[in-house]
Amino acid sequence: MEHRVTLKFSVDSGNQYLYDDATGMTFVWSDLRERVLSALLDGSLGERRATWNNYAPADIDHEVLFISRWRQKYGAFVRKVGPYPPVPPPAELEAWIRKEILMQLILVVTEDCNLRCRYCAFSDHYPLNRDRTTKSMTFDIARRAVDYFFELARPEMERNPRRLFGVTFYGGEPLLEVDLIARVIDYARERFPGLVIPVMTVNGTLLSPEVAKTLADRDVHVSISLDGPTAEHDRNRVFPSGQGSYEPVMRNLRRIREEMPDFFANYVTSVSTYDCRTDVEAVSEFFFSSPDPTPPVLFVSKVATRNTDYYDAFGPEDLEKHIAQVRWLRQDYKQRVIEGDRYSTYAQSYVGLPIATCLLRGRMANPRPPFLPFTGACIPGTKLCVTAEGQLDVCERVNGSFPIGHLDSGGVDFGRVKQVIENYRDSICDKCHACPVTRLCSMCYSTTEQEGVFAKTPEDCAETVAITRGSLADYYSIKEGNPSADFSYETDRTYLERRLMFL
Amino acid sequence: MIVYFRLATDSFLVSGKTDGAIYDLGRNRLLLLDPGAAALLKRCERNQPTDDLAPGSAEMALLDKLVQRGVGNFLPSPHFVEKLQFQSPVRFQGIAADPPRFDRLTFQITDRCGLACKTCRLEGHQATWQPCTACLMRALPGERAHPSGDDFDALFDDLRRLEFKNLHLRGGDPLAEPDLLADLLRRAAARYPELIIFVTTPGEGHLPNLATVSNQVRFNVVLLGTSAKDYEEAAGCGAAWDRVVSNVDSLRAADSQGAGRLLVTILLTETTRARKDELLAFAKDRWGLTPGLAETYPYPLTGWEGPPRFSHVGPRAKPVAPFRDTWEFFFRAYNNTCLFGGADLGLDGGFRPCAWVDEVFGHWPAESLHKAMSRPQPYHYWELTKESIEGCRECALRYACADCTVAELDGQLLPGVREMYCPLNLSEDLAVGRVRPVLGPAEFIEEIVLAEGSGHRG
Repeated sequence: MEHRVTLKFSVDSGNQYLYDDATGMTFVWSDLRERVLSALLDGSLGERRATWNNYAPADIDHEVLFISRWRQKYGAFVRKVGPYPPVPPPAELEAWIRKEILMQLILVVTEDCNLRCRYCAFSDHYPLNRDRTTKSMTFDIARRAVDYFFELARPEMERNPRRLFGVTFYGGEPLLEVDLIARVIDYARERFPGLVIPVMTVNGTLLSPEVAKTLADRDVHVSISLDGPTAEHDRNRVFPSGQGSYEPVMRNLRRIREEMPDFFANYVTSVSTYDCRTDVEAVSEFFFSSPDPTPPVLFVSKVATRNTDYYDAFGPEDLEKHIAQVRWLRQDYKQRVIEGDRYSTYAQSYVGLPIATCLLRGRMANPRPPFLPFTGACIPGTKLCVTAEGQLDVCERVNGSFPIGHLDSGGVDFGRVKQVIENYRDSICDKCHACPVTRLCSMCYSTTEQEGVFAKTPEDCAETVAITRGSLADYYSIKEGNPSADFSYETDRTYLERRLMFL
Repeated sequence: MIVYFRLATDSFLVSGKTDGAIYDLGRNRLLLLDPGAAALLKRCERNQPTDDLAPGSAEMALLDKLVQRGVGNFLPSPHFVEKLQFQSPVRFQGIAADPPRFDRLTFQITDRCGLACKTCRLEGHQATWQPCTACLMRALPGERAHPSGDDFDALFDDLRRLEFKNLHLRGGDPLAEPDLLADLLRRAAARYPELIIFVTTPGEGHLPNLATVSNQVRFNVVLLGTSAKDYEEAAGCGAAWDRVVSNVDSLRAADSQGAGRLLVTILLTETTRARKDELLAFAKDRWGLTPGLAETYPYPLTGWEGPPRFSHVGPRAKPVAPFRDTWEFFFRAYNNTCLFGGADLGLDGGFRPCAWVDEVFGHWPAESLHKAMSRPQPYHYWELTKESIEGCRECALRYACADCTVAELDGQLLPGVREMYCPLNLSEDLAVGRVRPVLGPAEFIEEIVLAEGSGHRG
């Protein structure tokens, strides 16, 4: 059985296009082309073309040739329903993960934090997530994690001499354990010279020039959580006293920019979080022209919407205002790209990243693993997240329900990895074969995790399709307006590499 | 009202200096455009309207013809036509770098040889075509490396870990070092039996005991002629001919099953250039083989008059290699077809992208093959497409070209040499349409001419 897997979309000019998920290609589309494709798929071309009196026979023939060629030569427009191969046995899975895909070690060096951000994933708003505690990782556990990770990665190091490995320090606020971090980096660099890229996301309050020097000496890539100008930042990012954290963060950044300009320019970025009350226009302007030091924005993240009561505090008027602002930001960004004007790195990440995702989507020769062919889920083991106590998680965002091993019990349990993939596949992917946007779907374990299960709703999938349609329309509107529109910033390798490291 | 014309998603307009070509991937064809047609298509691809073209004009007739060929269509408004891509347009490095597709290491194990060919060791005084399939040698500067048995074992271990498919042993003549060759083959069989090993030799030295040589070994014997007279003239050693024939006979007998363990390459030189067909027929008749061809053209660096031509390239004619499928087109567009997947290890222990490229990116045995391949230089050469090569980047035939790219690299270092490989003079020939492509089957190439008298006339 086959399903048509295409998505029609219109751009600002009114032109129609068709995205084809089977090939990953898009086509100029028209009513006649649509009629021909539909008729060819249901076998009614001979009967129906006799009724198409508004079209010249030569035009119909041309479209029949076009559709037929793409179907026959490239397998376009339709996808067969399975069967998909089973998840490989644990030993096979282990061999494949160790040789091909392992790329990042994440160390949760502390579960403590000196801030009490109102949207924190470890706050009471998120009952399924682990809680903030005062637990910290010992050097012994960190050392064992590093040794275990690189032993796991040995086949990959042997096969791929260009492969480097990210070592991410996560929290809580990782800089509460800056001495541990420095010691771990030194240890890892000594054991595995030239292979380690250390990264971390911090709240910036503890990033004094002295601490920054400790990080700069070790080439650590640092991303600062920065939600915008004072009012925006301090609305959510606060100390336990309720006092905002903007000024302490800026005080540190000003000194770093002045005293360590190379480190500031080359190693420091921002991540920015928003909710329905974020003044998107003001935040974008802040990152565009503030006299304060504003490192380029790598990510703009929405406060997590699943398994939370955080959004109960917002009303429809907040949502309406937010939607209007985002619409403005999109139009402004598109216009600037078309005209070759400068734009803020906030707009770049908020609007530009989904557009760049369309540009960089997988095509025919970028297949996913055959046993997990759909959604954006990684194979557990791509990243290895080690908690303060040595538990191994799929990633820093999937915690509690689906551990995949423990340092004290032999490391990764690949039988458990197999179970997680099967569980996810059975729960999430049962209808994906008919989805028109699988190559652009970002759904994964972290976005579908509930207590002990993975789950999604039809609305989740509909939202993915709608977002994809909007991003494709934005991309094509820009390219129609300016075929040589510059996306080089988005496609710059270093920039993309940084994004991956902070994922 | 229909006013725009755009090429199809899988039809690529490749611009030349004055002309152009449409690479029609849907049908694996090449439509050569004369300068007028190329200018018209460039304009259309920039979304400029065509309503200033008179119905029945030569321009409209040409566009109609392209619609009939299925490589383009008229549209009622400006559109963005995304071009066919097989892969996401990004190549990750660092933590997301894919494993490289290592194919072959060429390894010069000796500079000894029983022959003294006039065409060998002429670094800077010769131009070559397909030199890597012949036994031509560069005289490398510096000391020889002195590897131990452990170093050889470590090299084979690295080849296995990195999943190299092939090892090409070259010289001099590897048969001139029978003990070393036997030792290497023994170690390879023990440490990486899946590795395919080619031994490129002029065939004059001592063959190892073929009964003890593993199935992973193939011998590539380079012929300089078909008689003692040829060998006397080419190498100053007419007596060598009998030994070469005897060795190849032995190899053929050992390969009586026709398992492909014997290959023959004919090196065309001044002695034999005019007798190419005779040499091919000789190898076919005696050993039942279709040999490969390589060619060398010695010349003085100064005082020569005009560019000499290789036997496979005629005057004002471009050798064309049809892309067999869409994959091959993209491979040529994104990679260097000659250097991709390869590396060379010289007698001096230098790792190079190829024996004929100067840049060294590692020193063996002090540094391992693995260490050398962790550096960016070899991959830079792998991705050195024709877009990077002066002369080629303005040629519309650049993705359908049979020239040896390494030679073109050399050509940039030695002004004038390029013309020996490529017959085109972009500033003159294309402007007046005097180039005729050759070696491409007629069904692969079609010429599209905007107006009578302005096209490619050959």
